[in-house]
Amino acid sequence: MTTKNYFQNSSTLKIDLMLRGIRVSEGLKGANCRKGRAGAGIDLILPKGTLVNVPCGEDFTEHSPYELKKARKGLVITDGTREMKVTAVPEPRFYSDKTSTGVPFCDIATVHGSYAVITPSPKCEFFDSKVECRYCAGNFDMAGADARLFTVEEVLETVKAILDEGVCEIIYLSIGFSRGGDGGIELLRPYIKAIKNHFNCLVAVEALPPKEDKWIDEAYALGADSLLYNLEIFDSELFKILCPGREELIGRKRYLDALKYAATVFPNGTVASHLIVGLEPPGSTCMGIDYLTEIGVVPILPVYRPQPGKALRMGPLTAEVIIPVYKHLYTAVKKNKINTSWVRDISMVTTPIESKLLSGEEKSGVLSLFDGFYKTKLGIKTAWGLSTLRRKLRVKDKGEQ
Amino acid sequence: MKSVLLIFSATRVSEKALGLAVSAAKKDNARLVVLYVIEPEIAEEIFDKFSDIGFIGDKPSEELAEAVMKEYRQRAYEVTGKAQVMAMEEGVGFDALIEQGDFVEKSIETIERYKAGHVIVPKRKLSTLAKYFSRSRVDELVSRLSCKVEVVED
Amino acid sequence: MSIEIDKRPLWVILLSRLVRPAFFALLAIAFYVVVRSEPPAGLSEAGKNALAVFGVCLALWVSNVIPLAVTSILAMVLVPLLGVLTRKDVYATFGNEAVFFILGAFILAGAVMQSGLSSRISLVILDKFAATPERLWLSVFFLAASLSFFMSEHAVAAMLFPIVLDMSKTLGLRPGKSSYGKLLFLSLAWGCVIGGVATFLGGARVPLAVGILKELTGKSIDFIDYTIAVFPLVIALLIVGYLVLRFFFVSDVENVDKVHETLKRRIHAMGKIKYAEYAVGAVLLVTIAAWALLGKTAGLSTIALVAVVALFVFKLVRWKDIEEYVNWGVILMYGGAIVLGSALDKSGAAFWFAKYTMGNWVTTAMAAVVFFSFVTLVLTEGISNAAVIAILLPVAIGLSGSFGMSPELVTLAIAIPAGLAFCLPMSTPANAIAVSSNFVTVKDMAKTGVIMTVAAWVLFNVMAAYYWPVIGVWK
Repeated sequence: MTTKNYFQNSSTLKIDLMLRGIRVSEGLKGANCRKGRAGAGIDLILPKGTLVNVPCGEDFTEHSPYELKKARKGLVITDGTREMKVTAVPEPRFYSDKTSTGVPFCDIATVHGSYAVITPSPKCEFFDSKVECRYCAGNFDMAGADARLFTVEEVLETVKAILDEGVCEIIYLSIGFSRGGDGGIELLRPYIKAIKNHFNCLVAVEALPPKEDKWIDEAYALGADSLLYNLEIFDSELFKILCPGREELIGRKRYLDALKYAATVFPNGTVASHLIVGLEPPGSTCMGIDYLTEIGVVPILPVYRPQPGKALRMGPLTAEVIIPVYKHLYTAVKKNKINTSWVRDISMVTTPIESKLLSGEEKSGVLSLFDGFYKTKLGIKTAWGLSTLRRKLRVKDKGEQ
Repeated sequence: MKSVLLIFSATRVSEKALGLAVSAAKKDNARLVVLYVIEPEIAEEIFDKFSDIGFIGDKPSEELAEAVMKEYRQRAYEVTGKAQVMAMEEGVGFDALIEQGDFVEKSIETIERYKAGHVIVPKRKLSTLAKYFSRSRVDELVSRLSCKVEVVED
Repeated sequence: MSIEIDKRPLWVILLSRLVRPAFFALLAIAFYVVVRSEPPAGLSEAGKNALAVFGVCLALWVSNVIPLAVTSILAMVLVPLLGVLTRKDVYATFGNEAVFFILGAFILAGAVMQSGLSSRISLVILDKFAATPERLWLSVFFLAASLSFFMSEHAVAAMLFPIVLDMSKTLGLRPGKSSYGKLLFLSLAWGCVIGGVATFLGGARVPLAVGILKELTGKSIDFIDYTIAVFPLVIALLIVGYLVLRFFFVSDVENVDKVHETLKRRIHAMGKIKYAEYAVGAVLLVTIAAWALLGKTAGLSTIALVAVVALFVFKLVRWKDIEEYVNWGVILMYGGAIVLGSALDKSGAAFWFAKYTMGNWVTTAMAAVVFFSFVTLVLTEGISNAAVIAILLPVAIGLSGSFGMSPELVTLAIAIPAGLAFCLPMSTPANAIAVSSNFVTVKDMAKTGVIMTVAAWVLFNVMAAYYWPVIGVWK
C-alpha cells in the first residue's frame, strides 16, 4: 500500500494518523490503547513534541497504512516504506488508583495531553428527550442517563492526584445538556469553586449555551478560565439534521450569540468551539472558521471518527482534502489576532499552534520562544496568575458591595 | 409578541415618556413592559452620611435608610399602577416589573428577557456645564444597547 | 446573583483601582519628605512635625478616603511617635471634658428618640399649628429649628424625615414637580441647620470648638454665654430663610386637612404618653437647666454624665438601646481632633503657620472674624464641620495670640459658621436627606443655598461688629 509521505511534517502526519488510525503490532497489543466512549486510541508523541491520539481499536483502523512497531530502542511508526521514531505517552500512574469512596480515578478523569477531562455527570438530557445528536464527541450517551454524579470530594481527590503526578495542569470540566437554562453552570458551580479553592490550576469549562448571558458572566466569576460551546457543525441545515436536540432546544443562533458574548468576557484565546472536520464540506468548515475567528473564538478542529452503524462522514475525506482547512485555520486565527497559547497540546485535535507548522511560516517547525514558554511549569503558573488577576479586576460582586 | 419597554426609576419618571410608550405599543401592536428600578445607592449613601459624618448611631441611620427605600418602593407601585391604568384604557397588553439594583444592568437584563425591540427612557435635562462634566446613567445605558431607544428629556 | 463583569480595558481598571493606593503612597511620601526635612526659620522640629501630621489629617478629612474618626486616631498615633507631645499628654488630652460632654449629650438625645418623646412632640406641634399650607411648612421649619436647640440636628433630621415624607404623600405631592414638596423638605433641612448652631446641643461641633479653646488657652465659653451670643443670628437666619423659601417656592397646595388625619393616626399609633417619655423629658429639662445654671461651677461634662447615670438608675433606657443610637466613633473623632489642636498649639506650629500665611493682612480682630467666617462657610460646604473646626481653629487661636485678640472671639467666628451649610447635599446630612426625597434637586438647593450662605456671612459679621461688643464678647 503506498501512501503520500506525511512523515516530513509532524502536523500533517498527525492529521493523517487521526484520519486513518493505526494498526498496533502483535507485541504491543493492549499497550495503552484505551477503548471507551471517547479518548479511545493511543497517545503518541511525534517529533517536535506533537501530541496525537491515534485511533487504534475501531474497525476502520484495520485498513490503516500505518503500523506501530517496537524498535530496538522505543517505538516507530511505519507505512511500509518509511519510519518515524515516536514515543508512547505512558498511562498516568493515577489511573490505577481509586478515590476514598472506591471509584477508580480513570473513571472520573481522562488525560488528553495538557488537559484532564472530568465529566461529573455523563447525563445529557438530549438522550432523555429522544433528540440526541446523531454524533456525540463528548462523554455522553444513553447509559449516562442513569449514571451517578461524582461528588465534589471525589473530583477533588482526582484533581489532587492529577496535579501531584504533574501529568497535566489544566482541568477541563464537561457537562451535557440540562433544561434549566443555565447551560449547566449551576451543576458545575460547586466543582469549579472547590477546585479553585483548593488548587492553583487553570479550569476550562465545556458546557452548552445558557438561555441568558448572565450565566456566562457567572461562569467567569466562579473561576472558569476558558469556556467552550461546541457548535461542531457550522452549516445550518446539517446542524438541524445531525443535532436535532441542540437545534430545537438551544438553536444555532444562540450558540453563535453566546460564543460572541463569551469572547467579550473571557480573555483572548480562551473561548473556543469545536468544528468537526468531516461532518460537513470543508468549505463550510472554513466559513465556520472565518465566522468564529471574527467574533474572537478559537475554532478547534477534531477529525470525525466514524462510529459503527453511523455513516455520517462527508466523503472523500483524506489528508489532502483537509490540510487546507487547517492552514486556513492558522491564517484566520492570525488575521484576527487570537491568542493561541491556551489551546495547545490536545491529543484529540489539531490546534492552531500546530497548524502554524502547516502554513510554512515556521520552516524549521520549531515553535517560537513565546509559544514554548507556556508549555513550561513557570509558564503555566504565569498563565494562572494572570488569569486570576484579570478575574479579580473584572468581576464585581455586587452582593458584597 | 413584540415588546415596548419603558424604564423608570426614582429620579426618572415622566408622564410624557409614559404617553409615548403607550402610543408606541398600541401602534406596533406590542406589549408594554414598564420596569421601575429602585437604586439602593441613595439609601446606602444616606446611611453612611448619617453614620460616618453625623455620628448618629446605627439604628436611627438604618431606620432612615429603610424609610427612604420604603418610599421608593411605594412610588414604584404607584407609578406602575398608573401606567397599567393608562395601558388598559388604550387596550394595550401590560407587564410591570419592580427591580432593585443597578439601573443599567437591570435595564439590560429586562431588555434581554423580554427581547424588547423598542426602549423608552426618561432623562433629566442637564445644563450644558453639567453635561460636559458628567455622563448620565441613561447615556451609559443607550451606549450598550443595539435596539431602538428613545430618550425623553423632561 | 449579582455579578457584573467590568469590560473596560484592563489598564483603565488597574488605574482606577490604583487611585486609592496611589493617594496613600503620595501622602506617605509627602509626609516623609516633610518630616525628614529641616524646619524653616522660626519653627521648631516638633512644630514642623505637627504641621506634617496636620497636613496628612487635612488631606484625609477633605478626601474622606477613610472614616473621619480613623483619621483622628492616626493623629493620636503620629503625634507622640514624632515627639510632638508625650504619650501621656496625648491620652490625657484625649480624655477631654468636651468629648464626654458630647457623649453625654448624644446619649441623652438617643434616650429622647428611643422613648418616642421627640416624635410625639413633633407630631403634636405639627397637628396643633399646621392649619394652612403656609403654617404647615412654617411649623416644620420652626419645629426642626427648635428641636435642634436641644438635640443633635442630624438626629432631628433623621426623626422628622419620615413624618414629613408621610405628610407629602398624604397631600399627593409629586416628587420633582411639586413646589410645596420642595418647601417642606428644604424647611426641614434648613430648620435643622439653623437651629443646630443655637446651642451646644445642636451638634458636637460647638463643644469640640470650646474643648479645643480650653485645651489651648485655658479659657472657655459658657453654655448660656454661647447661646446669648448666637441667638440673634439664629433669629435673623430663620427670618431670612422664611423669606427666601417663600420667594422661590410658591405653594401649590390649597388645603392640608388630610395631613391632620395622618398626624392624628401617627399620634394614635403611639398610644398614650408613657412614663418613660415623662421621665426622659424631665431628665432632659433638668440637665439643660443644670448646664445653664451650674455649668461653670460643676462643669458641662459632669452634668452630662450625671444625666446619663440617672437614665440608667431610673431604668429609662437599656444599654443595648443606647448602643444603637450612639455612634461611638464620635469619641475618637473629637478626641483626636483636640489632640491635634493641642499638638499644633504646644509646638508653636499654629502660631508660626498663622503668622507666615495670614499674619500680614489679618491684623485686627474684625479682619480675623471676617476672614475666618468666610473661609469656614466655604469649607463647611465641602467637608464635615467637625473637620473644619479641627483644621481652622488651632491656627486661628495661634493667630489671635500673636495680635492680642480674644481667642473666644475667633472660636465663635469658626464654630458658628461651621454649622451653616446650605448649598450642597454633601455639606450636611440634613441637606442630603432633603435631596434624597427627590422633591428637592441639587439645583434648587444650590440656588437658594447660595443666597442663605451670603446672608449668613453678612448677618454674622454685622452681629459680630455691633452686637458682640455690647454683650462683652469683644475684650
